[in-house]
Amino acid sequence: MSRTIAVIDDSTTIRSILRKAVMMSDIDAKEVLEADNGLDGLDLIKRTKEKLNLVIMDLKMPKMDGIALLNELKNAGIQSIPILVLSSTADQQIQEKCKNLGATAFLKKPFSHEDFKTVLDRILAR
Amino acid sequence: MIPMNALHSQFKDSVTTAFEEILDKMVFMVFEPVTPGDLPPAEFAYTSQIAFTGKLSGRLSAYFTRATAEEFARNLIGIRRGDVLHDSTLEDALREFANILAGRALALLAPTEPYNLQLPVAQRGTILPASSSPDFRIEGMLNEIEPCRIDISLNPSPSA
Repeated sequence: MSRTIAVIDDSTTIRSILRKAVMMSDIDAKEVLEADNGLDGLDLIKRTKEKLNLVIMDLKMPKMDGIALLNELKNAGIQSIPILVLSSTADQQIQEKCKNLGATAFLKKPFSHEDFKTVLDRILAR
Repeated sequence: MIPMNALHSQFKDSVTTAFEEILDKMVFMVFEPVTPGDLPPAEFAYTSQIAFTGKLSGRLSAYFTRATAEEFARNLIGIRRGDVLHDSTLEDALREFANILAGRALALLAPTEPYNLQLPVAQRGTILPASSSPDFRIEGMLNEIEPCRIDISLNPSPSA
């Protein structure tokens, strides 16, 4: 099954790492769409929700942070797409908040390709 | 309540651990620390810096030689030797490094404590920290050949 994945992160470096990690994994990614802030990410998800199989997003982003983005998605009723949240700082409370807002899984930075693949396999097997 | 000196010492350990995790998981380089002051003379060509606020507030600055900065960025992003590495790409990689390092170190120090990270900066040359003598310094060799330094300058605690 070919998959379409959205990567939303303000860091060009992290988007590049994720794009390569997705392409190197065996999930058969057909397309990786990108946005560099939460607001554009929301727009991207709304426009492409019919074909999206996964959203990977940072928590700390300009214009709209990850919590606000999750909130917007919940309010818009977009809750069927698995969402992987990345963060280096988030404590347990923030992680719980993200899960309550619809996040499927959390991945702490720094992460290895192996860490990424493990969490990706877990999400997409659901 | 942990005395401030002990907290500083714990934070130094957290920064070292976070740095080694990044090297191991994302950059594939090995860091060999040296006693502060024993680092061979080095020409640091790039600096990345990030400020943080919370129970501890201050600034983390990382200094790289040109060779280290380039290898760091290439390994982090996955750009092969021989392929062009633009300055903007390199600086973005160093910014993200500072962001991950500070975030992870603070999370290791106090997993339930809220901290705020400001936007990281990276540039050619050295950015002098607010205090020219940092509260603590971590320095050593990357892959046995290139010097690297991380300085932490902490703001005085409100009760100090």
